[in-house]
Amino acid sequence: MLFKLFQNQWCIAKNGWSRGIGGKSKWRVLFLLTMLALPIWIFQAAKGMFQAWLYLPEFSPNTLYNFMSGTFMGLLFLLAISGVPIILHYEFLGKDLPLLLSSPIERRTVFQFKFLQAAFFNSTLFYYLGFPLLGALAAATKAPVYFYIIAFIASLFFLIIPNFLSILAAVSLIRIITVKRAKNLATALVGIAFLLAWTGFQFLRLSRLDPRSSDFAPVLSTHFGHQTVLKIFSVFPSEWLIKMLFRLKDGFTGTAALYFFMLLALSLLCFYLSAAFIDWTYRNDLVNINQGTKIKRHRFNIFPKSAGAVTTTKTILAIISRDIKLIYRDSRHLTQIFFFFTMMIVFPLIIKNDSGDLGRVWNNYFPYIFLLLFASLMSASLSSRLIPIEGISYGLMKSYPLSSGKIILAKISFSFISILAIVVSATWFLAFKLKSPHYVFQVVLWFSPFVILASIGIGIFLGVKYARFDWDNPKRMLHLHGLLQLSFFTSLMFLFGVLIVSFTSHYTNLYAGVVLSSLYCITIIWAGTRNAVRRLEKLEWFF
Amino acid sequence: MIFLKNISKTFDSFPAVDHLTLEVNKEFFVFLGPNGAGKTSTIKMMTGLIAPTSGEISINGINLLKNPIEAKKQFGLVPDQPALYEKLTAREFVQFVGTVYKVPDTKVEERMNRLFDIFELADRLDDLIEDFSHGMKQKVALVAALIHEPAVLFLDEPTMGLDPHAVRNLKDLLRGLVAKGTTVFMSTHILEIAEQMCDRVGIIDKGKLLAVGTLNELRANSSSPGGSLEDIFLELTGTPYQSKVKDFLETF
Repeated sequence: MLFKLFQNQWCIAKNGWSRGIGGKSKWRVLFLLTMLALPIWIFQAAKGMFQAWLYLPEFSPNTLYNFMSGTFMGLLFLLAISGVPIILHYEFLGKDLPLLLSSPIERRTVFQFKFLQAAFFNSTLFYYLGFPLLGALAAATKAPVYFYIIAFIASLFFLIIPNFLSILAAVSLIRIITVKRAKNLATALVGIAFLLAWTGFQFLRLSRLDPRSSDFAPVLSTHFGHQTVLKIFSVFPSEWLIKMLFRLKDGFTGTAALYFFMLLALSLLCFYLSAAFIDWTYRNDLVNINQGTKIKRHRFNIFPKSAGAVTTTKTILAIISRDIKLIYRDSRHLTQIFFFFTMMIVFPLIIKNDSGDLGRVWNNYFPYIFLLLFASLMSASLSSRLIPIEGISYGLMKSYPLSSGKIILAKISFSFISILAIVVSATWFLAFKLKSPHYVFQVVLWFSPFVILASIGIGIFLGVKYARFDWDNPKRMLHLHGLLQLSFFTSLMFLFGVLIVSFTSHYTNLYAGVVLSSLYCITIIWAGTRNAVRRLEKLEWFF
Repeated sequence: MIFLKNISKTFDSFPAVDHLTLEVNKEFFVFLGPNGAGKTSTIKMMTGLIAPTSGEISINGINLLKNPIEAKKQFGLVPDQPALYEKLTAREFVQFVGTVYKVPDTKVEERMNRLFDIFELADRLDDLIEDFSHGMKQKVALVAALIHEPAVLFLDEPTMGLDPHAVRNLKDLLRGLVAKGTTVFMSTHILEIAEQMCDRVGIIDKGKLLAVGTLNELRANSSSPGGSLEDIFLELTGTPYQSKVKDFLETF
């Protein structure tokens, strides 16, 4: 029966592919390129680095082992964290669950199927990072073909284990809060975990261990190579996988087989326990312990209760207040905002020394260009989402006595105020951290509202034009064309703005550039808003 | 009062609604038709969700196409799918709708409490809508549609998902509103409800209005004068699948 369920899943995937991206050859090629580009790049980069570690005398033989051990342990924990919302979705919120559970199929088979489905979708990180690293290890050590096959099979068993840990975490969460809230919370935690991992990597700079890089730090490499993996690490299955592969590479097939069977036994145990555990959760009705989410009243009350007439300003504020609730109660939106905020701060700190020889004045401004770039992308992204965030409820909104102009005004005001607050905080933090001169801080503060407004102009227009009101995930709030155009036009607008400032300040002075680029931003917000209002007015509701 | 003059809606070349003229005034009007007949398209045009290809619509004497904001203030809408903001509580949602219709807060609070009490949802006011069942969401949509005491009420399949208590309460409420002068325009597939409650019935098929009148008028014009609304409906819209059902049952 498990096979039949997968056959059905395959059919769904095939139909989705042929009627979606796969249906058009140019999108098919683009999709395949996107899927292959990153793993191939990681494979190539890692292979070169591994070869250097293996064959250059200044490196300890432990360097490669330490690196693989640490990375795969990181992967184990990241997969366990990222699996929580996926498990909650597939095992408890799947739309096909009522059909499957009411069909004459063993309940455990259904849960095993859903578990494998979740594990598959939770393997994206491993696909992009784990497989290329294992491939690079095999290629760098010139391993025979069977090494690749064993590494691949062992990886599949390994992937079961973090997903079982995700089940334990997911069930613990739903004992405290509702499944939907648990999924929201878990999604936010995943976002934070990945951001922390990314930030850590940026500050760690792997290039410092790469002898081909200009950043190469021999002392650090020596130190890293002479570290010994802590004994406690041996209890983690990621360590078994790495030990198994290294023993196999060195010809100790007996020890390799032992680790392989340990991994196999644990993953099979996890696989069977996962279904049993979910079945137990359902049988004990743990899913329905929390029936509803009570929201405390008046905790966030902007307006006092009034018996008087409702003014237009109050109506606009009511839309803003509702949008704030829609955003802060859905952690997926918060994660996105947090992501941009982190980028705004981390990126300028990373590249602060990479400005080369731009001149003393420009060197001061250089990190802030990236802050404003991320502010611009964040503004476009948030404002583009504020129309589709209404979801299919927008039908009701459209039937209300509200003009499109008021709706757009509310959305722009919300985006502007919230992002300006974030950008000012980030600028203040960076100015403090980078010890920037006072005039730099002032110029950046002057630019911020204009850059934000221009980006909102682009975002709100594309948001109306490409809105998908029936989204299930904030990533799919805009049609694909809209998403691509959003990044493209926002970056282009920003680049053009930077060019205006550069040219004008080169030929006249910086302040002329500031004025000219401010006018340019005002033109964009004006055009974007005007067209957004017109389009929203004409929008026909077919849901 | 709802006044539709010769309205049409064409999607590509397909006529969803074809030159429909209708007047509904301070009565309980039920709009019937098979799936895809044009009922929802008509309601969507009357509520400003889609624009008619041609024709005129006025609500309480206000032209919807020329003065949409004023016209929209006259009605409340309960759509066929209670698509509400899932991340708001029932209270927050109704308060928001009240503000949009410029109803003072104190009145919103008072009406909301009474209406939620009628629909037995008073204890779930501060729960997120995402945790509600279909029927509960439908109740919230009903309360929101009534919060500004509209002169006209559009309801698209409002009883779907409601429990028998709520259906009974809704029926009593709607009859009471009509008695007080509200115009109720309801689309439904449940002919018993239509038969029990309506003042007049309109039957639409393939975008055309086939018949309008009181039940007695429709009976008098049908081939079986003593027949039920179901008989009249089937007679007007055809019964193409009956022989297929019979064939299927013979082989079952």
